[in-house]
Amino acid sequence: MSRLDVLMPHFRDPEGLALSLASVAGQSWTGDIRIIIVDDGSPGADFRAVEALAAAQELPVVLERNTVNRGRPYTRNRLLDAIDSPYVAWLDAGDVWYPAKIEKQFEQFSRLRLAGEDITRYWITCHYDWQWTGRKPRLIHQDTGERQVRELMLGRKLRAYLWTLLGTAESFRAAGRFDERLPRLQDLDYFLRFVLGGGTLTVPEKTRALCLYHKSDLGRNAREIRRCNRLIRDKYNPHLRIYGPAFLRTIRYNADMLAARFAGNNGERLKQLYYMGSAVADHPKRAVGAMRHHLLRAGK
Amino acid sequence: MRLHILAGCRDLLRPRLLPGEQVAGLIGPAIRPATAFWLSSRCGRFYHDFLLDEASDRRIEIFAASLRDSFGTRFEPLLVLPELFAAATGAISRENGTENGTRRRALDMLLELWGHHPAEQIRLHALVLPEGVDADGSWAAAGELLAPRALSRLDGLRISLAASGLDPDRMKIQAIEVRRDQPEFELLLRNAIACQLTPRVHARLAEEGLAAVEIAELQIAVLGVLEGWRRSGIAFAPALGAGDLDRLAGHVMKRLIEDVPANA
Repeated sequence: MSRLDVLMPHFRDPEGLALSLASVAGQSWTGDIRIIIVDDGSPGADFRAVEALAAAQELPVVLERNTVNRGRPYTRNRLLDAIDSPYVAWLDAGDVWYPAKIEKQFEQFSRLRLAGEDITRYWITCHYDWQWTGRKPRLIHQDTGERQVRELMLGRKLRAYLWTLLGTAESFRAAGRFDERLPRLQDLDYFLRFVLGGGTLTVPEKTRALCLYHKSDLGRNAREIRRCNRLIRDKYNPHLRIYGPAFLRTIRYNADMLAARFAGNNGERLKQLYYMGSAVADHPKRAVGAMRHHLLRAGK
Repeated sequence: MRLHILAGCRDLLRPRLLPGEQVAGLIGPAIRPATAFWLSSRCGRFYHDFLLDEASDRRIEIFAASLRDSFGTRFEPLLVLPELFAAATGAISRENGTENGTRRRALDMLLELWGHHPAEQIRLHALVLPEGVDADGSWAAAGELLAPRALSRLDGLRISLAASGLDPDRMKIQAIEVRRDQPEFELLLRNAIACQLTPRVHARLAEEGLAAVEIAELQIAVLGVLEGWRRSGIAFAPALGAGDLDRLAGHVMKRLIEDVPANA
C-alpha cells in the first residue's frame, strides 16, 4: 500500500495534466506515492491523451472517468472515495509542485509529532507562486496565524487552495464531502468546515514557495462565483457574524469585486459595472479607498 | 522495508564527514539517507549521531514514524553510525569506558528504533579501502580499513544484535570496497591516513617534550595538513607501508609545529 495518494481532478487539459504529473514524479520525498486521476467527462481525444499519460508514468496511477461532465465538486468526491493511503495531497491539472513540496510538508508533520500534537488535526499548506497568464510568478505567503475562519473568508493572508495541502486521509474524510451546489469555491467551503471542526492550517517552517498556481479568469462565470460566495456566507452566517458588521460588509464587497473582475476579464463590461456598483453599495468607504489606491498607482 | 546501516569503518568516515547522499550512492542506487531536518537542518545530512544524544524528546520514536512514512518500495533508508564499530582496537588508543558506552548507546538506539518500526530486513555495511593501499600489512593490522577485518567486525555486530533479540536471518552483512576511481576515495583515504598518522605524531610530540591536549583535535590538525598538501597538488603514493607512514608523520609534525604563529 502507498503512503500518499495524490488526488487529481481533470477536465479537458491533458497538457496541464502532463505538467502536473511531471511535478509529482519529480518530488524529492522518498515515500511511496499513488496518483489517482478522475477525468470529469472530457471529450474522447482528451481522455485518450490522459490514458496515454497515465500509462507512461513510473508511479502507480489509478484512472477513473465520469461518463458525463459532472463538475469539480462531484469529481473531488469521487477522488475522496478512492483514497486508500494514510496521507493525501491534491493537485489540479495545470498546477505544479516544486520538488521539495511533499518532503517539507512531511517534515512539518514530524515537527508537530515532536511537539506532541495530534497530526490528524492539521492540514499542512504552503507558500506558493501565483502566476497570471503572461506575467511573472509572484510569491504568495500563507499566513496561518490566529482567526483562520476570518482570514479564509477575507482571502488575503490565507487562501483556500486544495493543491497546497498535505493531510492525513482521516482528516480529509472527517471534513466531509464537497458541496455539489458549489461549482466554484468548494475549496473554501471545505477549508471552513475543517477549521470550524477544530482543525488548524499550518505551513512548513523556513520555506519559500513550494508550488506554482497558474491563474486565469478566462471562461470563469461571474454570476456563478457571486452565487457561490453568497451560498457560503449563508451556510456559515452564524460563525461569520461574530466578526461584526464591518467584516460582513467587507466580505460582501470582496465577493462583488471578484465577480466584477471575472466579468471584466471576460469582456462583460455591463455586468462588471453592475457588480462594481453593488460593491460600492456594500461598502462605500472601502470602495473610495480602493479607487484612491488605483488612481495613485495609475499616477505613478 | 529494508534498512541499511553503515557501521564503519570509523577511521574512514571521520574526522572529515562524507555527505549522506554520497555515502548512499556508494551502497546502491535506490538508497537514500534518512534525514531528520524536522529536528535541525543538519540532522541526517551527514551521519546519525543525533540519535545517540541523550535527549528527553521522543526523537527516536518520531524518527521511526518518519522512516515508515518516507520509505517504502521505491527507496531504502540509510543510517550512518560509525560508533557501532567503535572499539579499542583502532589506531588511536581510546578510553575504554567511553568507547563501550558509545557503542552500547548506538546498539540500544537501534533496538528502540526497531521497537517502534520493525524493518523486514537489515543490511549492515562497512566501507573499506582496496587491499592495494596496504604495502606491507600494517593497515590490515591497524583496524577495519580493509575487507577481512571489517567483515569480521560486522559479523560481531550481527551477533550482538541477535543476542539482543533481533532475528539473525533478517540481517545481512556487506563490506563495500571504495575504488580508487570513485570521487569519494580521496576523502576516505585522507581520513584513514590521518588516523594512521595521529598516534605516530602523538608519539613524536612526546619525544620532543610536547603533548596533544586532545587526540581528536590532533587528528583534525593532522587532516588539515594532509588537505593542505592536496590543495598544493600533492597526492599519496598508491600504496603506503609502515615506513612511509612513519616518515609522513615526521613531515606532518614539522608542519604542525612550524605553522603555529609566534603570538598564538
